[in-house]
Amino acid sequence: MQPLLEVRDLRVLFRTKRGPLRAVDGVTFDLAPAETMGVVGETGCGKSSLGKAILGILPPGTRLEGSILLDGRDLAALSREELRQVRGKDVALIFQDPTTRLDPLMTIRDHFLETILSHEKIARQVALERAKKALASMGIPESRLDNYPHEFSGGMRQRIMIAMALVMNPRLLIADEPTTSLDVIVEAQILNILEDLKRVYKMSLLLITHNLGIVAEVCDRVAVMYAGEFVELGPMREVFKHPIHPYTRGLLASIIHLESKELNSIDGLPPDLVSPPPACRFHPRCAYVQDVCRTKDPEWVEYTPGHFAACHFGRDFL
Amino acid sequence: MKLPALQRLLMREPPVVHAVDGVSFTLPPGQIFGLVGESGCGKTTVGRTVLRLVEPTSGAVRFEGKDITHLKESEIRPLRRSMQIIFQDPHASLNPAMTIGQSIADPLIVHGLASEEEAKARALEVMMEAGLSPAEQLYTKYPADLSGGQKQRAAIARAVILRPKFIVADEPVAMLDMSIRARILELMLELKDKYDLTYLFITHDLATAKFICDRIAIMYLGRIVEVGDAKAIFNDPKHPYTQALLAAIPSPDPDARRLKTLPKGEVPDAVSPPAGCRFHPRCPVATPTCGWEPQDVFDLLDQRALNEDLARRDEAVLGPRSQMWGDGPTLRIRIGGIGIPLRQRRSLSALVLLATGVYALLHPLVGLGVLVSGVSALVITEALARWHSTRNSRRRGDAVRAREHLAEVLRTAPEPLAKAVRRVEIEGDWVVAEFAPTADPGLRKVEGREVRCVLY
Repeated sequence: MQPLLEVRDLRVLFRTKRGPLRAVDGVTFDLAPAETMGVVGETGCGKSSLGKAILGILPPGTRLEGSILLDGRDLAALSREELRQVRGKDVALIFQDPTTRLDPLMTIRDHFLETILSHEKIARQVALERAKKALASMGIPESRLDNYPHEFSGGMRQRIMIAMALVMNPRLLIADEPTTSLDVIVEAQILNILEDLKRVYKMSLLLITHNLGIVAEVCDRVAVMYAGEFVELGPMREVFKHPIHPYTRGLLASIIHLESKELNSIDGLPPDLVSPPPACRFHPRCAYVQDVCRTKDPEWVEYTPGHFAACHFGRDFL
Repeated sequence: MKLPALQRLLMREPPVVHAVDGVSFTLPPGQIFGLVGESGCGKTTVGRTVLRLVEPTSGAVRFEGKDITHLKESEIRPLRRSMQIIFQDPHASLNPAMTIGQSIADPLIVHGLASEEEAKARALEVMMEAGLSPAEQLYTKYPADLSGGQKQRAAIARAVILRPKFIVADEPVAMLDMSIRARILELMLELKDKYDLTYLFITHDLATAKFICDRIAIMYLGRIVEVGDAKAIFNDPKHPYTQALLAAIPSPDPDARRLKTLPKGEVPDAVSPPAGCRFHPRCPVATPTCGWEPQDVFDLLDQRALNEDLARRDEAVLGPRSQMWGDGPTLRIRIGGIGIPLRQRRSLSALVLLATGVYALLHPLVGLGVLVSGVSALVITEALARWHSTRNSRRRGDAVRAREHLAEVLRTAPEPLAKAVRRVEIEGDWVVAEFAPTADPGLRKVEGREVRCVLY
């Protein structure tokens, strides 16, 4: 199938006093229509920057290299004005904290009208009808259109954010930690909704999260990101059942879940992305490190169909 | 009767939130007691009240047999040495202007227990124990130079430097990356063994609680709903809320993937918690005895509002939501607008005529004009009153319709609500629905633990 999104050798370089910070450093992947892919990693691994790069909302002065093809059109080459047209219409996003993304001085009605009318020249009444439908699909009655964001609970605000993301019927939804600020039951409710979106709207979803449990619940594929690079990418089940990269194995082992028998963690700290370690970036924290890891970049190898990893000793972990 | 707007104008004091409402537990030395619940359940307030960082409205806190609830600040201060706290956000709990070493050594100096040199030596020692190495080097660093995990280690080191007996740990790993949570928990367990610590471990994460706690209490809206041995509760949760919490945790096992049945909605407002069992509006197995609350009706109307037809009918007959109030076991809906009743309107007209008449008699020069205006005022108010009375009778018709409609809607409600309806009647301009009063089930002993649920 023709992929909806093709990201090729994407690099995001932030300007800092100490030199360029490589938040995303050569990331390549495809996303098929109606597919859900998770991107996981620790704080500061570059996963949020990856999402922002695709949406074109990186801070000014950030250098973007590589290409982001959405249906063959390179988003990385678009002007700010052209990107504005794509954003919200073809690509929508859901943020971690809906409170800070809704304008406290605007009613829900105004939020919807602004979103719709900035993309389409249609009558307010038509736009409003669409807003009502999107809200209803999230279980929020239209009688609440004139409420302000603070009059809703956290879970409702997140459902409103999702409704706003859906109202333009985008083909790609990017969700950056969409449930992190929510309680566990509300989180599960939102995950059920995301699952439904995939089925009903045939939408592609890029789910950025640090929570591997969420990935296991909703994703078809998963990419593991470390220090700006993908270290493993594959079908969710494959990666969870047969992880190859030592970092992936460490992450999986460190999850504290109800069936955990022992506590595990990954020693050391994620590296400074201004001057990352040479060769394999994970080598300072890796329990299996060899000399070659310190001198030679590991290759991106496809071990089983669709299951890639970047480790010199990937075969040994199969 | 409660009129929120009027209340806001007249009331001197804001409404009371029972953040914690009748919580009791004991914590034997050397145990880790977990307080588990969603945000807003009161778990943090309990933790702070135990340390007297928040003053309880009523009730008592005893530490080593001594009632500390009413101790003066000067009396409690020496006790603080044995009672410490670790906060969720290590970045916010460490002074950014102090080096890590100074922060950790500070309690010794504040309590006058050591000179600066001694304090530094002791701080370096504790830093080593907390896994902050090289300690000498980190001593002079500022919080901003450290990672989240290191900062939390520093906060832990600061808490144990006074050799406390008891530590409240309020979500100590929630802000940390998964990859290092285990290390911090291990550190806490190590220090517990080393210093014979007792922990009150506050968390929203049941998986963490399962790992670290000996006993746990599950809290919901200010109350403990299940408390007992951690193993027993995890193996066989009894309260429907505990069961829901456990089911909602995302599992990293792809084979466990499934669409879940979850409790409806979200945690209600603690200002007016549901009557009866506080979980009943969301409970999948609630029965009529579990409880009722006005919000149930509003939720029901919201649910109906998703269907355009029903929404239009409800709005037309029952009026806007702003004219509905819940008050204990009673729901009131005001029908029609605000108007002066007919009788008062008539006496008002008479008063106007009388006043203008007297005025006309006393001032003969302008009297005629005033008299004319007085008469016309009477005529106008009379006409208004007549129009009002026809509208009133129409409103009585509205009220009858509203009563029937509300009764009908309530019949379609889920069982606990539908069966709790006692009467739906018209009282003046109001349609009033009354529901059976409900009682909190109270904690009951069930298989080695206590559960607050009528099922047991």
